[in-house]
Parts: sequence; structure tokens; C-alpha cells
Amino acid sequence: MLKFLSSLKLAVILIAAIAVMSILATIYPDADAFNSWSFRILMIAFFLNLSLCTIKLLPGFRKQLQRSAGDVPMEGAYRIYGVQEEALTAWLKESHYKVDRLEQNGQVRLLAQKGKWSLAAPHLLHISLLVILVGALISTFNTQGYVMGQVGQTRPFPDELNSVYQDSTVEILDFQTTYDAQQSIDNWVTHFNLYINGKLVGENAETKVNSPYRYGSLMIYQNSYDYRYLMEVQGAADAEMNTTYGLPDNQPSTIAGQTVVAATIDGKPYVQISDHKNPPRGQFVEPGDSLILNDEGATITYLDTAAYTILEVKTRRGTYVVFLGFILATLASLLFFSGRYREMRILVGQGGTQCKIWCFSKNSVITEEMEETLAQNWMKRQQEAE
Amino acid sequence: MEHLQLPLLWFMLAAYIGAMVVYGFSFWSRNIRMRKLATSIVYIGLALNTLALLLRTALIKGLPLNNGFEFGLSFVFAVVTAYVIVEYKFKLDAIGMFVMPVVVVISCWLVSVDLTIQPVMPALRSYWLAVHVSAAVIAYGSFALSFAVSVAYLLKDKKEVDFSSRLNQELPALKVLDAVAYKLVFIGLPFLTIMLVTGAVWAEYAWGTFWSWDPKETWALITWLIYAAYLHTRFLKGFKGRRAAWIAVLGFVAVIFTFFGVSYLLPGMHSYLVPNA
Repeated sequence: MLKFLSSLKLAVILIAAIAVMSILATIYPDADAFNSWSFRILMIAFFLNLSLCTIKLLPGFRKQLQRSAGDVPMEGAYRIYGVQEEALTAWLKESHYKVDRLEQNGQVRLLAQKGKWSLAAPHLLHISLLVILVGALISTFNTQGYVMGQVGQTRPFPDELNSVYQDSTVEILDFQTTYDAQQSIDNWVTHFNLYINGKLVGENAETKVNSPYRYGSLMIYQNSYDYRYLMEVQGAADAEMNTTYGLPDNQPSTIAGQTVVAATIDGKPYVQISDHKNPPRGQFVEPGDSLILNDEGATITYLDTAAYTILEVKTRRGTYVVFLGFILATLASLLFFSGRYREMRILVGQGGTQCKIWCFSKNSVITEEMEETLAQNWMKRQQEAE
Repeated sequence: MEHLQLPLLWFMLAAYIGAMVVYGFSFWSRNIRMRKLATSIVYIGLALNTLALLLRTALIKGLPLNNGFEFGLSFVFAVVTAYVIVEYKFKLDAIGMFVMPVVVVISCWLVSVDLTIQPVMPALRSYWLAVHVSAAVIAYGSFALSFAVSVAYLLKDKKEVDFSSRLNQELPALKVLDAVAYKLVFIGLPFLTIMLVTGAVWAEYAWGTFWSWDPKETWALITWLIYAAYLHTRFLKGFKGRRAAWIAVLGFVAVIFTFFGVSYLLPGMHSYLVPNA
């Protein structure tokens, strides 16, 4: 069972299953396959398989790192080259090989290795994937929510974060759309004061797209923005209705029994009121303009259009773990480019005038290249000597 | 200067089509001189491609990696550059006939899209963009070439018994094709890993989540899984030759779907990539 769980066969089956399920999930997004139990079970199986594979391969990797001239076998696919040990060793070092030498019972054995670092790459990549999966699992316990407010308002933290941050608020100090030299939108920037558990912890803090604000494991992102039409109601029979409203853009709101819609048409604010009995009435407005709201004599006055900033507030517990996995994955990727591992197993012949060399690499093309280089090199040097 | 883009692209396309046609003729006529001529036309196409990239860079005052057109232009550049390097290093100009159709198809798409320069959206104004998209360009360029070499392998392998066939005589040995395809995947996969990692880090800063199962992200992951399977089956199960070539072909199908298919058929957070999608 353990053998199967740690097998490459299972790994390939799981990789194929994850790929197929991901394809289906993108074609049928409504099925929400990535949150399904079957996908979670697949990921758990993949994690187990990868963990066992990594553990299984580590002793072999360790052994590979510890290889020395003593591991050079006496028999194998050796070829004879007319080269002296000293000259060969000097050439190997010139060619960036690390050479280990052992003299035993009158036999000199050499092990020349190159690209040892690249041996670590697949193992490191496997470990990085495990770290990323652990981080992703932790991050599923993250909580997030949205704070929406206009300049000057103090807004409480979203309910989702109340269990961690009680009595915590965001005081919106400023919200700006910034422009570049070509007058294109460069960014959206919110400045705010952050209160955690009633205490000011971030004064005039800034968040913008691509540059969120951080407080411990708490992140505040510039998520979006919106415009609200500030409308003041007066004279309503129900005194509670007489207040200032922030109406969302082009969305109906019910105020004192009437449906009110505010929108911007051709760059000008427009307000429409409907009682659902008569045809709706509306007009373009400027700050201070009033409209009759209902038959009771209530009026609604347009005050201003205010930008609302929308901030995403999120805890990020597993993200640092995921980022550690990302660093390891990047490192592993770079190690792949440090040169493929290759070694030359060398038996120095009696008298020292010739050597038996076995070029070894998992890639047959590299092995051939090594043999070709050796042949060319010693032929060339012989010619030079002549 | 903006009006120079389209003529330049048409000249580039003409050069690539010319190279493809001459490679085809050289193959049927077994004329090595003609093949050399085709390779020279590829160099002209690459020079025009470079000019188009430089012009775009000057026009947008930044790296041309912001939208689908710019990515496509860089992608074609990467494929042709990778081909030129492989051709130079391994003397493999015979595979030009298989590389050029890929280049021509993407170039045809490039001349058909809207070239108007649009303001870059705030989320894309990040240093991560350069690393993320450059890694994608290199990875996809390597995969495109490995696809072409693998197709050459599969065709030649089919004709292996017939020693008089043109494919046998014109194309390099199967062993060489297999080794080159593998080397290209070996280069592409680490870059694809870097692309996924940098994209995820950037998404964490821009969107507040390192992974959102957006169709583009998901398909990039599917591509990664296919090439990871390629290397694993090769290293540990000895999948070489025909079986490896089929996986490389499948991998490139995923690359193309990630770029075109997802952009047109499965809109998500990366929808801005393709003009008018």
C-alpha cells in the first residue's frame, strides 16, 4: 500500500486527474469544482503522494551527494584514453569538475563531478510544492470582508473579522484617483486612520492598487470605488426619514415610500422619483436643487456626489508560508539551470600513461557530448604536442 | 509613428510566410541552398519583428508586455529567436518547416487585432509585470519550438521504415529531435514555474489573493502539470521518443488554449489581455 502511495504511477494518475478536473472546472464554473470534496480529496492524495515520494527519494539524493572516488566501480562502460593522470586532472579542474582521488591497493581511482547543485532542484521543487499546499491549507482559515465609506466617515470593520478584531474601525481621510502624465488613471489611493480595539495603530495610512497597507497579519487593499449621491430628505411624516442618504449610482432606493434613482447622464447628475402609480418624474440637478418626494410634502435635496472607497480587509495567516514555498520553487527553477549533473569515473592505468574513463549522465546526448569532448581534447593536445 | 505599426507587421508576416514557403520548397526539392535562403528570410523576419517591438516600446514608453497584442508580438519574437539559436547550435534548419507555420498563425492574428494604444490599467502598473510576462514569453517560446520539433519527430518516426522518404533524408536523426525537444521543455518548465510564482505573488498584492482559480491561472497550471508529467515520465519511466513527443504536443495545445482559448472563450480576471475579447 505504502509502495503504491509513494509511486510515480500514482503521481501521474493524480496529476492527470487534477488537470482533467481543472479543465472541467473552467468549462463549468458554476459547479464550483475547486471547493468540492472530490477536488479536496484529490489534493490530499497528491500531498500524501508527493510527501512520501520526497521522503523516499531523499536518502538516494544524500548518497549521491556523498559519492566519492571509492564509489568508482572497477567494471563498466569504460573507454581508454591516452592521457596521464596529472594532465587529465588539470583539464578536469579547468573544465570546472570537482575531482576526488583515491589510491587503494596500487589502483588510482578518480571521480570527477559537475552540476551537483542541479541534483537538488527536483527535490527542492517537491518540497516547495508541499510548503505551498500547507500554506494554501492554512490560508483557507483566513477571514476577509469589505469596508466602504466616503471621506470623513468612520466605518467599522466587517462582521467577518469581528471575532479577531473587536471595536476596530477605519476613518477615511482621503480618497483620490491619481493620473499619469498622459492623463490616464494611474491609481486609486485611500488615506485612513486605522483603529484596532479602539487604539489608533495606523495614522494617515495609505493603501493603493498593487501596494496594500499592512498591520501585522492584517492587510487592507484598495479594492474598488464607487460614487454616491448625497441626498437630504426634509418634511417626511416619519421623522426618522429626515436624514442624509448616500444613493448608489443607477440603483433604485426606497425612501419614504418612493423609489428614487440617481445616475450621471452626459456628465450631469439626474434624479428620478417613482411612486409606481404615476409615470416617473425626473430632472437634472445641481447641488442645492430640491424635488418634491411625496404627497405629504416631503422634499429631497441633492447635496453633492461623493466618491466612496471600497477597501478589502483581510487576515493572511498562510500567505507567508505560501510565499516561502514560492521562494523555494523559484530557487529550484534557477538550480535547474546550474548545469545538468554529469560525472566521469576514472581508473588510472598502471604506468600512468593512459586512463580508463566512463562518462556518465542520465541524458545520453550529454554522455555522447562528454565522450566527444574527451576524444577531441586529447587528440587535439596530442597534435599540439607533436 | 503609431501608423507605422501595421505596415511593419505586414512586412514581418510576409517574411515569415516567405520563409515558410521556401522551407517547403526546399524540402520537396531537397535543395539545401534554398533552405539556407529560407533561414536568411527568417533573419529578415526576426529583424522586422525586433523593429516592431522597439517601435511599440517607444510608443508606449515601456516594455511591450501589457496586453494580448504585445504579448503575442513578444511570443513570436521568442519562438523565432529560440529557433535561430537551436538552428545555429544544432544545425537544425530542417525543422524550420515545422516552426514557421506556428509563427505565421500567430503573426496573422497579430495583424488582425486592434493596435491602438490604450492606457494601462492601474493593476498592471507594477514591476511584477515585467518578470511575470517575460517568463511567460520565454516559457511559451521554448514550448512552441519543442512542439514543432516533436511534430517533426512524430512524422519522421512514422516514415522510419521507408528509408527513401524525404522526411528521413531531410530531417535530423530521431535521437537528435527527441533530445532537442527535451532540452527545450527543460528550459521552458522552470520559466513557467517562475511565471506562475511571480503571477501569484503579484496577484496577492494587486487582488488580495495569490490564487483565485481564474481560468487563465488554472490553464497555466494545467500546462505546468502536463510538462511536469513530461519530465517525470521521461526521467523515471523512460518515456522518450514517440510518447514524449505526444506529451509535448499536448502541452503546446494547452499553451495555445491558455493564450487564445481562455481569452476568447473563458473570460476572467485576465480578460484585458486580448483586444476586443
